[in-house]
Amino acid sequence: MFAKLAELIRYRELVQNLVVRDLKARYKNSVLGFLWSLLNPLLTMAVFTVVFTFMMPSNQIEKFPVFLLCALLPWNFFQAALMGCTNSIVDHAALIKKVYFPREVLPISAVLSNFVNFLLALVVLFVMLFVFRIPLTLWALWLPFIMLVQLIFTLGLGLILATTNVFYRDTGLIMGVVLQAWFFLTPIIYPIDILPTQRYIAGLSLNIHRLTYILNPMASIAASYRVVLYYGAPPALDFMFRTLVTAVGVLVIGYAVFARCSGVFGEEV
Amino acid sequence: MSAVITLQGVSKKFVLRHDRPRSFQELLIHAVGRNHNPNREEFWALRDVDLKVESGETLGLVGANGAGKSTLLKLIARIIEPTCGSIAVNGRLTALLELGAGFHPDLSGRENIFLNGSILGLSTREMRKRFDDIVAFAELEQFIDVPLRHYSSGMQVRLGFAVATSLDPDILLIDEVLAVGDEAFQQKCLSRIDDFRRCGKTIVLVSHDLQSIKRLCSRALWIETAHPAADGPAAEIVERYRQYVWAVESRKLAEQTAGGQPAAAACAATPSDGGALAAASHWGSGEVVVTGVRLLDKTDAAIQLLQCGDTLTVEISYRVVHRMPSMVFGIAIYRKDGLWCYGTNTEIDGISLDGLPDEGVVRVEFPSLGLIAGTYTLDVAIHDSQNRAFDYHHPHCAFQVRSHLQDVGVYRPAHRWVIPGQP
Repeated sequence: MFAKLAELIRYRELVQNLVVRDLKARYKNSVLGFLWSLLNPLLTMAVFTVVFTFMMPSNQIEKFPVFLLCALLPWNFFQAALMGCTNSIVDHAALIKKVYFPREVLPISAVLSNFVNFLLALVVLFVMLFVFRIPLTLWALWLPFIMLVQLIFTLGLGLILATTNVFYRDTGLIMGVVLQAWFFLTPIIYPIDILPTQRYIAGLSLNIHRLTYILNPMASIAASYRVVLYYGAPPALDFMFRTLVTAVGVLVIGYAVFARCSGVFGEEV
Repeated sequence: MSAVITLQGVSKKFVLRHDRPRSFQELLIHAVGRNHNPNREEFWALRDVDLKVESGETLGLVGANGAGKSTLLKLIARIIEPTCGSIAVNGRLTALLELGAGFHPDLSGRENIFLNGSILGLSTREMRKRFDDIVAFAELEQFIDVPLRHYSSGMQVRLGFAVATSLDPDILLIDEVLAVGDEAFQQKCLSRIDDFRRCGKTIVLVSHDLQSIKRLCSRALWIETAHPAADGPAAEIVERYRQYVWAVESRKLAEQTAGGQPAAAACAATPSDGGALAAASHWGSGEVVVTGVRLLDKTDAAIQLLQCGDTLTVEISYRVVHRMPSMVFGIAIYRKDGLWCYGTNTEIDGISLDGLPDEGVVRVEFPSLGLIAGTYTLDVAIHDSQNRAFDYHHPHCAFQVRSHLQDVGVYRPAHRWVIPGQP
């Protein structure tokens, strides 16, 4: 295990070059180029804002575009990184069959190139915060920590999905639906506070609010982004650290699964 | 001298699951149906391979397609893992299994050089040092900032080879990649591999071009259906392997002949030119007819395949229906593309046919047929001295000439070189 990690560190330049390649290739043939990284979140925000303010006038949330963007951008990163990971091994089948390198380089670079994209998109968010006159507080300093937690969680899950997709190509197909459901189960277009604390389902009293927080690491991650940026308030520490532990656990499991199976990638893809 | 590659009892099994569950649905059906291993076919690509490659050795792998040569290279390169046994590699290893693996079409040649270098395990700093050499070797100075999409496939291969061989590895694995690019570039590749050899690097090479194995390698390993069949000096192993392939092919041709054709037409087409002979035709007035033709080697065994310089006998069986005042037996040899290589007859050669029985065989013997390697067809004819055909077969049959030499042209006249300073 440690030998594998040491080897991975030797190949860090490959990760770097693959990330650069992904970013360069992504917008290579488009007129606006990397501006799409900024334009995309703006357009999505516009769509959601139109739907939730003009078409649903009952929406009481102030400065809805910023409210939305705070959680939507992390989610977009999460979704794109997971899809990238899922296909990372299968898409590079030709390479894997012909050259040896630590296979985890591929999902890692898939996550990181989307992370760089996310950082660019955050610039848009800060501009919007300024435009809507939402003051940044010191609590915003939590941002790097929250991003790190999300990065760890995403990579862990991505490693598992990349592995499964090699053996069962359905993984990639089913992820589209799963991610859509997950999107609505995560407080992105609605505040987490509207979730009921008590609800009877099949005779059981369920605290949906709490369950969402506990079962869905993305809920706590998305909520934390919003708390420190939009509300300018301290994040719920106990949940934050619980999510960190979950994320690290997922990464350890994901890496173990990946390392165990990556030996046969050369013949299975 | 120390072993840089050591394989001990290495075997590799592939499982061919013809209907392996590739989707969750099938997985579920399999789980419920308790039908866990349907159509599971195991295939041993390699079995019990023990191999030691010493530092500085150039090892060539020979063997038929599917014998396991590439699997062996992939195992050494760590692309796949052995089912059992152990593999130890001592030193920096580069595998040239495919040139330009990982090239991205949208990036420029320059960007791809760095990307490809890091895929092969080199740092950007090291690549920067080699960059100019790589570009010069690939002869792509003016295209280096053009996206790879616009490169011809030859240019991509050149770039791939230049990057891969600039790495300065201790051990180089090469799989058939030399058969790329134009003649001039191939020579360049070969001379670069020569350089590697001179620098004392270890090279393991797979090639179907036995000549280059002989030229480049000090040692050869012959793999036959997953087993190492012979190991030793390259020249010797290549020769043994060639003999073996030869024997197998001759047997195959003989079986085909014995199978479908009537006994009289002992001479049959090789599979590759069955088409040409389907169009075989004969014409003539029929006073004298050809009843059969056989090609024989020096032991009078029927053959369709011979080595350049072998003895060939053409045996023509005939029958006289009406005795004619003048009769001439003739043959002609054409190359597959229609080039008329040779033709003669009993009249040209001044052979008298006096006292020819009504039925029998006429033999033409070539003590040393000097045609170079290729596929040829044979015409057989019996006509009168005014060239009026009694029976003319065009073409009658095909045969192949093989050669271990790569001389060119049509015919190999007997010759020798005299070099000053040598007895």
